[in-house]
Amino acid sequence: MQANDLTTKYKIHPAIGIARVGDSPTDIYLAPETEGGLPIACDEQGNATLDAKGQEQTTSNFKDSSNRVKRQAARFQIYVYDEKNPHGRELQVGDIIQGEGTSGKLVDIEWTVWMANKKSSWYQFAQLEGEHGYAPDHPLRNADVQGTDRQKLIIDPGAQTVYGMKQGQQSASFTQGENEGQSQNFPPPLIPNSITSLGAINTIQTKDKNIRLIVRGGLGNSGSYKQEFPQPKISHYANNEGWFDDISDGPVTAKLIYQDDLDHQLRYQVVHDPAWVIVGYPSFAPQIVDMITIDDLVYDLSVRQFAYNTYLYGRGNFDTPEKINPEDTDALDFWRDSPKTYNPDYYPYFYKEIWPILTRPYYMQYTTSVLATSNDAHEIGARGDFDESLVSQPPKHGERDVYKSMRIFIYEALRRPGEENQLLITRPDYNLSPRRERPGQGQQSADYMKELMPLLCGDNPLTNTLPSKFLRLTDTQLFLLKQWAEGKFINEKQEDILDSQVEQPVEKGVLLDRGVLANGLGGAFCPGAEVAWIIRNPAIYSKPYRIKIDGDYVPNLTSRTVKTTPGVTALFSPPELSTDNGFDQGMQPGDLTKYSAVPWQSDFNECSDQYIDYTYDQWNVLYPDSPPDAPLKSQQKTKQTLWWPSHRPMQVWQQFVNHTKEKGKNVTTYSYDQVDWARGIPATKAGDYKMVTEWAKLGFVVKQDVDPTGPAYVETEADE
Amino acid sequence: MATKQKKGPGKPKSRLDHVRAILNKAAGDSTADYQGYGRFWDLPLKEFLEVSIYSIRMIAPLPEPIDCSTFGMQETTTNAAPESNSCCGNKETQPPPASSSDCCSGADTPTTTTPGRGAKSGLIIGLKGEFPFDGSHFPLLPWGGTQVSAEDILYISNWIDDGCPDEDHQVAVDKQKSEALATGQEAHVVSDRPTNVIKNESDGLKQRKNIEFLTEDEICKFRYAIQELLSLDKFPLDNRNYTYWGRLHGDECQHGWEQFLTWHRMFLYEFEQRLQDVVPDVTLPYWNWPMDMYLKGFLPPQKEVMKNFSKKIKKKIPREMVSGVIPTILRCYLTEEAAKRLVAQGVPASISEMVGFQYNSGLEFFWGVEQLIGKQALAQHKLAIRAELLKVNPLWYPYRYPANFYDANGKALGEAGMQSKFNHHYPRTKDVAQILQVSNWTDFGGGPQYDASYGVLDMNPHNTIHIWSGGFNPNFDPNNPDPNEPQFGDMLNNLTAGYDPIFWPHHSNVDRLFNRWQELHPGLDPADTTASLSGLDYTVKDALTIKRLGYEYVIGSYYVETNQGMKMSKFNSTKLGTSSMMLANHLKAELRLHNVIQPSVSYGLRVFINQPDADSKTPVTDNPNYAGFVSFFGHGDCIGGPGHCDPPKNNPSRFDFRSMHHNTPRNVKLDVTDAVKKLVDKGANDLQISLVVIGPGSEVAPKLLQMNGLSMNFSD
Repeated sequence: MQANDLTTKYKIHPAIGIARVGDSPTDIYLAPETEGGLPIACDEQGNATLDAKGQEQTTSNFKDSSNRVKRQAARFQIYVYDEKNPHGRELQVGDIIQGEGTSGKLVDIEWTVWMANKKSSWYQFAQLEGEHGYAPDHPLRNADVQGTDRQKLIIDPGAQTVYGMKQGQQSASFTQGENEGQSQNFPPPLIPNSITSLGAINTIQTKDKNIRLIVRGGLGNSGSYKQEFPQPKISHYANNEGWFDDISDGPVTAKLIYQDDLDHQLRYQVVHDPAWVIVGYPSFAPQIVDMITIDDLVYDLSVRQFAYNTYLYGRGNFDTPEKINPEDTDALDFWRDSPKTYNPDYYPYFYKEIWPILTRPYYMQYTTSVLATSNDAHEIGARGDFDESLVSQPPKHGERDVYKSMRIFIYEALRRPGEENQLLITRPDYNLSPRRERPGQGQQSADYMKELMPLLCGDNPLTNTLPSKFLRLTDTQLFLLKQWAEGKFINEKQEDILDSQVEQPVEKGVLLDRGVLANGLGGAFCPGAEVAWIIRNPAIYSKPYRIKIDGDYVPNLTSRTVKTTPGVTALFSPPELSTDNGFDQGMQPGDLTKYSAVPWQSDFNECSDQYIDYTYDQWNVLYPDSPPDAPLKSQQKTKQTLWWPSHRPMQVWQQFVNHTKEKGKNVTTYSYDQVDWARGIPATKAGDYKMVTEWAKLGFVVKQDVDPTGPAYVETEADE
Repeated sequence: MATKQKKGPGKPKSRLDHVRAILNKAAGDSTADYQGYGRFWDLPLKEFLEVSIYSIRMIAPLPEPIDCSTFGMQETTTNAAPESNSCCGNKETQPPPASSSDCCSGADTPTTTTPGRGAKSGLIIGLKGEFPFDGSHFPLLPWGGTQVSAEDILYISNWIDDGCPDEDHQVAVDKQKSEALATGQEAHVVSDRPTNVIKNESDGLKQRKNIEFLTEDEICKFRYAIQELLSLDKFPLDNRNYTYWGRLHGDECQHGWEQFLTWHRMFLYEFEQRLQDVVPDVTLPYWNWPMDMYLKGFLPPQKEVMKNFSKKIKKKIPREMVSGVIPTILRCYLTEEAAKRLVAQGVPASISEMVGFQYNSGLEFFWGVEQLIGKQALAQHKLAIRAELLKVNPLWYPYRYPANFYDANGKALGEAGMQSKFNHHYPRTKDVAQILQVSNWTDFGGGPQYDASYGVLDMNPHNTIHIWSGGFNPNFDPNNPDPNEPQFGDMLNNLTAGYDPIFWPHHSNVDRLFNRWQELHPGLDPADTTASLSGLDYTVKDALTIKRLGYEYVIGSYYVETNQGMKMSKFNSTKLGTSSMMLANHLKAELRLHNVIQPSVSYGLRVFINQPDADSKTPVTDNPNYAGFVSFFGHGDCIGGPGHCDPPKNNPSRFDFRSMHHNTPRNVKLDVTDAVKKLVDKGANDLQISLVVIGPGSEVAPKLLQMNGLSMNFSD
């Protein structure tokens, strides 16, 4: 739910776009726009491939003809919200643009993007240290580079502007030497791979005269300028001296160019809600959704910090929820300071809000072998703990709530706030369903199901400073599941309620905002995948889902006559990108990804699994030898725990096609083999270095539909 | 679009049938499960009314009844309305068409209408697609079906407003009964609806009543409303809470000069409005201090007080623990339920010996408890017991020690003590009468700002009663201060007086005497009528008449509701059921006819009391049952176009400043004090009212009287 005022508003969607690196210099696909969806097929310019009915086609081909990984491009669209279109629609050339005091037909759109990489100039990543401000002695990356020289640690190709039509260039790149008039900074030659570009942008025009922006990121190059033996080497999962990668992020702004009805001059109208683009590493199993997605996280943040859904969470009065304008900081501060609760009568929809969470662990069996050995936990089919036909049934009037015990069983196993450092259920009121208890056995019979879920690594299972060993769901996810467990949920299918009728946002573009982020990793953050814990800091947002942009780094956000401000080529002299942080002014290019690991391949490779010591809640590391402590040593307990198999596959299924003849007929059969996904790349520091050059050879995991009896997801396109 | 059902042969379709037809048509072939209810509108009506879908009540419930059992009383409702069986014996909420000749023909059974109930119902909200059925959480109703037209939604909403009737029978017209009522053959029944409910509906003046004459219903509502404001005390910033008003009095109240009476009038008015936000028909009762029941019990003898204790207590209550007599409903008592709760908390079971008695103060009550459970157990449980006492009677107050005054040695002095310590005595009837004779504002109500002085009403009885009801706490120990045992009662001092609920009946009586004095001495105003009243958003002028504030003072009243559509030649009431106490204590008896329709021809009415067979020939001279005469000035044949003689139909607008329409129904007031007195002197113990129409010339009484009620009002 978003407040919708009656004046005309122009907004870029998605609010945060996600591009992904790839080593193909030419081929791209477009970011998936639904949770767990396949990416959208497109040509090299980003024009989506349409079927005969004009519908956009998805693709499961992730590599180009030379076996190079295609880049995922982020696509941006501009929506108009006005009295005629309260739910919004995409803007078309020829639409009447409501300017400031004037109006006229849209003739073109000017898009400006500025991507940068600040990783090497930022602080070292040390788990949760720094999330609420860095200690004065917190070490910097590349601390040997000092003073103004540190500016050279930022990869800054400068801002670029493109147009949809004849008002100027339709494509531009963030490549060294290809941004006339803008100061640039690129690292010196690197080993093994130098970085000379952070990507490119271009516009496309659809047959409906929509002008869209296509943003692609880097080629996945990483390297170190330190070359003396034993350099270059990787010695840490997140911080490596001398290293750079071509990950980046930055603001996406736009101006609408219209011809004034009165004097026929071309004028600008600034798009009110600008966007942001984040470049991540490839999503190798795009259809397998993370336990917590970025959308889950940002939604939770928006609900609890920005009064985003006051019917779900607020100061009470859920019959007539209040509307808080998130940009009215006084009102929002007062709201934040008030006591708030979740609406005890909020009934989530089963298939929209509950089932997607419940099925995530089940589908992870196709990216890790662990689940197969765990007695069919998370099974969603018949006789499973998550049997869809049973857990989808809300209690009905006049009938006993027979499946409540199943729901309670699942809900009780979920890790709650404050239990991040516990492996086992120790809640004094913990009580499994009557179904699970046997007469005379009581609590003991429940003990086999004693590990808290999700059984995945948390934000810091590594050190003794701010430990947070295991992952837990967001408060909002837990609340929704609690409602479900208590029987307060709606089975929309049984209520004859269509998907399209279920809790639609007032603004249609929000579906894009949320759909895109639902394919990013929302935890754990150590440091994370596309983006680290900074994404859960409310200070970086201007309003729900919208990153607050530092206006100094955007060319002229005021509306004027076109001739006076053509893009970034005139009257735009931004200060150099800061090596510091300023949440109050807003975010600069590179400010979201700078926390992440450098190079990304090191953390990506190592975040496979982790032995977590859970002997003591507040201790990740025990030193039983100093002084020798044999009893402690004997009591020490560890748990091998996965990081995020959906984002970094562990084991995958290979599918083999066998053509045989039976009784004279050609028969196709399939056989399968479960193999390590990153074959030949050990999860070691040496392996990390190998990952820098070998990542593009790894296979993708996609849903197969040729053999309904085989594993549902199999590996494709691996470069053996 | 649902079509109007045509009435086929057989049983006519009811509105409920039509509501179901609308919903079924819209649902089409939907298979929506509605949480297992299926098509809940097809359930038996009783179940349909109770259905909640995903915690949203489909048909909004009627207002919650007030649970009077908390106070050890019967249950009542916030807007009680009778189950009606016949249209003619009861009031209709809508006035009938002016041309209607017979009230009963074709009229639907009047049921309880609750405007806005439909709009509050989840079904209507869902059909309209209002939040949360606007797609933000739920799609609009019916799910899987088609949208219901605005017209049909209104039809369903009105059906809900009208009380969701099961069947709308065409009333079998009981012409006989109707004729009997219209000619006095049959008597109109005294309404069992609270008078202030009727007043509230008709926007009439609400009645503040003598606290000893409240009905059970009125007592319960007063307690309930006070308790609701008390319960808001846990929200310190909420200015509706009880403590806010207590503190406002302490901080802002005006005493000892000319604003005393006006300030307190508006202060009570504001507080009463807060109570009426909780229960619309509650008013502040008044405590008529010099009534016999208080005077004769002034510091009752110990022997008398001992009757209030279980026989198990052998010891005689010490004189210093005996308190003065206060109004009955403010007293301290324990219910059986409360005693059980205390026993469950560990209080010795013998505390239940206190159930069934009333005490003028907590002093007396706790003395009794101490005898039963012992000093130690009392000390341990005193606060818990106190909490229960406040729960069962929020009008009781622990820091209230009426008439407890002591000498230096702790010896009880009684009224003599008040006399010696404060130079005042408890007010008697003659004191009040004397005060009311004062004929200038300064002496009665206080001097102006630049020459301020106390008025007599302010000083005594007002101050006296404060001091008397506050009193001294015999348990106060200066060497061992205990916040629960203060030196004085809260009423004794201005800053704390507003916290004791006895404050309201006390000041209500001050205001009543102020009003009485104004009636006796019209035109006397304070020097500055434009000054603002501190802490209240009013000026002195706003407070100069209570009519504008919407209330009046009566001991009590009896109301007979009639159907305004019925034309009567004679009216008979049943016996009113007047209490002997009312008959003995009133100073004035006033008969009122409410909303009498303006007749086209002039006619007269003769009023008889306790002579139900009176007719136009019944003598009016030397007849003690003849109480008076009313004449109506008929307007004659209409000289204008259609509607010229119809008063504006819709609710009178706040912005309609025109004079009253010539045919707006009028009220009649008739002072029948003398008639009542004569009958009572002759031994009458109840009253029955008869009105006889005396037509213009004709021998046979014409049916000319139309009104929607008659009431008998007693004041003191």
